[in-house]
Amino acid sequence: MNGSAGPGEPGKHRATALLVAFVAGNVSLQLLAAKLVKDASALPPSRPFALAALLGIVLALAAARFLVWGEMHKRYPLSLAYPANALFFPLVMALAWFYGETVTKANIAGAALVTFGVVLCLLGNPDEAPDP
Amino acid sequence: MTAWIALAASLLCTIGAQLYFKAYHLQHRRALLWMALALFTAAVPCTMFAVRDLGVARVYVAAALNYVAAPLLAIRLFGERFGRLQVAGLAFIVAGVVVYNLA
Repeated sequence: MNGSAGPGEPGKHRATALLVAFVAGNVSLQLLAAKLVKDASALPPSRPFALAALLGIVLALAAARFLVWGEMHKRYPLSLAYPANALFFPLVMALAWFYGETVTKANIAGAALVTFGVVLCLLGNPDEAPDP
Repeated sequence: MTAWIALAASLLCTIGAQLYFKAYHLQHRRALLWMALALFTAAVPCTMFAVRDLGVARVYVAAALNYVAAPLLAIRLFGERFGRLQVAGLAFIVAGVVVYNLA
């Protein structure tokens, strides 16, 4: 798990910064894809080309996320990299609210629990520092 | 009912894709990469059908179960390690999904 040359503090900081960058990129792509999926789901059957176009863009975004995931998988254990991306949840709640979906106190509490769980997963990483 | 089936299919596809993708990076077998790509692709229409009836927030919060299942399977399949705080974190994620859907 640790770098072969003994990463030390600068290496740890670099590894953490890189992980944050990967997570931010992945979460942004995921949020945009969620928005487009919501748009696609609202299209009537009479607009198949618009539906196909939206799903095509979603697939392109998935491909971009695939590349990001590839870099993450090379550097970090799945048990660290995957939970980190759950930070997307508070943002998707905002997206739902933007689209007029009902957001209740239970919804907010649930999303908060998920986010807290993510933080615990990151704090509890058994490996002290991810590889850069 | 169809929407819930679509949601379950979306979850399974995403979990499978993550595991195949990780396996590809460990074993460098091209078939694993194609499986991951196929599952990632299949997850998109499944998600759309689920969002149509269940709403974007419910579907994507339910998708948090991916964040529990994939790491747990990674322990079993890839020998990854888990700390106590991580276990607690996964429990909070599951609780969050349950609480969300109580509404």
